[in-house]
Amino acid sequence: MKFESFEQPKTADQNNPSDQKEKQPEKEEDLLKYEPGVGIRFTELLKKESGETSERQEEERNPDEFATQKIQSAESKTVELGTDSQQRLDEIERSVGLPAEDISVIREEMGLSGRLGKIGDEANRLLGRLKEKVSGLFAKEKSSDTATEKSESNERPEYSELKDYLKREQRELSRPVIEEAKRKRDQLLEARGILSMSKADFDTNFSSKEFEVRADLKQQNVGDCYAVAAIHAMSRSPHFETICRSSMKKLPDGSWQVRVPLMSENGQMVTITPEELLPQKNRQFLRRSEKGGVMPDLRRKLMPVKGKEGLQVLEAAFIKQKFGSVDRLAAEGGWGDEVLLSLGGDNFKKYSIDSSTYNPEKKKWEYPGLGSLDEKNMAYLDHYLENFDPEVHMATVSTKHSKIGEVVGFYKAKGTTAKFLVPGHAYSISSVDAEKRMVNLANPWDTSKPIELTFDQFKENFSGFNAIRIDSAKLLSSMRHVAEKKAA
Amino acid sequence: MEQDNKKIINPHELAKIFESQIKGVVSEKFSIAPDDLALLLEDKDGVYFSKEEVDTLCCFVVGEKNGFLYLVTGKIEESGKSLINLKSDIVS
Repeated sequence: MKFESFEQPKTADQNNPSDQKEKQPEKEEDLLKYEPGVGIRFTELLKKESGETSERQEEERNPDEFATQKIQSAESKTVELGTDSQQRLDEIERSVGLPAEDISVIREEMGLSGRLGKIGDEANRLLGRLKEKVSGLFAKEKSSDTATEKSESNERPEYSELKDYLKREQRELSRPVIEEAKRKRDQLLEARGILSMSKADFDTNFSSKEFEVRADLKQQNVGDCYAVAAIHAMSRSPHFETICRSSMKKLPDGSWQVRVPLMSENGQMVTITPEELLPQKNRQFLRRSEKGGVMPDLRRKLMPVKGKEGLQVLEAAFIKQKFGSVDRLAAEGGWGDEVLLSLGGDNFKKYSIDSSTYNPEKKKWEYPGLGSLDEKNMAYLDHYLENFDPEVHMATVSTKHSKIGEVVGFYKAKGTTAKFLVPGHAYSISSVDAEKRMVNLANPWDTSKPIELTFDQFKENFSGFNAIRIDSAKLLSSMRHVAEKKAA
Repeated sequence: MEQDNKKIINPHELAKIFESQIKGVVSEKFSIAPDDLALLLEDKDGVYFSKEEVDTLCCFVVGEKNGFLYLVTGKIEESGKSLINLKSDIVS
């Protein structure tokens, strides 16, 4: 047998107590030896008895340096371990006196190279973990020190306000209990409301399916993307049905009565006739735009949003309430939160952030994107996204404006391969996956096609965040007042 | 036995008895004056026993100025004579 004299590296039999006893390490070198199933005892090294007192003192005096030294020591021991093992193997192979080709065959057959590699990998893995743990511990200590220092120093009021805000959003109750509460709240709202629109009318005029509100909208040739986006954002709310049914009514002649703001006690009753939902003649046809530009307006007719009738009514009601008539041309250009606040009144609270800034030197507006927000606004935006709840939040966002004036075009969302956005255009937020940090958006041109962006892509590509939060107290109060008024 | 106890306890009455403690939990956690808080005692679903957690009273509290709707929960003990481990969160 050619290979009889070839010594296998000794390993401890863990089932044999005497063998275990023999392997009790005496020296630092022993502590670093690899043991199958045990690994390399770096942790033992850190708490070995010899010199423990002086090390502790050193640790207390200068913990950062102490940790760095220990990591460096462990690193050098790892290298030594690999080198020593390789040297020992080389010596053994030399003593056998076989040709190099045979040695490599033996290495391969015995799998020694692989095993050495594995030992090295294991050592590096453990070293990595040790580094992480030590740095984690020190980072924790440092941050708690910094936090204490901060609270002792003059803390800026806005941070204190923000901290309070974030603190109150921390969940104390379990998710099932919160979900149960949300169901109860909906029952409570239902019990309080006087609904002017029947469930059947709502299903016919708002939803595509029997039990699902699917506000599939397609903006036509009118530049009211912000209004369509806002209506779509609103339609995602679980309160949408209650809000619409309590404030809208279809009359026998086909016209609609809409109380704007919706759910308000003293809202203005806006009537929308069937004619007002039809395409209307464009008074600007073949003329230059009133808002500038060189091209004549080639739109002969201005079309209402394409979608269910109830959603068209909401678009028309917003325009009529704001401009006195359903003047689609006048409604071109605006902000989503304006529509939400107009339709929701004081049941909604504004929650908007804009990254655009006016550059007085260049005498123009700049749109650096939401990613450029200052720390406080970024914290609010992150908080809104991470806690996005369709029960209470409705949001539209606007893309950066085109760098080449008012020219309409597409641009690829940065950091993605297949998503195209329109400059100076409003989108609605359909949902947010806080865990995956993804925002699901809809383009008013066709809300049935979702666009998914990561939080970072979202911040990079959008410059305006025009959102609201439902004011539950106002909503409850409004419902009570509406009910009382109706009863009287 | 617990079920029997539940049947004889009216959640609305219980919430009324512990109204100040319930408001106190929200007031302390969210820094709101108790006078600005209102329990929805007149609503059937304003106070209820949780089906998710046994022996737990749930009560909605509205922040009348800030517009938040809070939920306060508490463990019912001694057949409804005491309410312990009160917790609160914003629902919407």
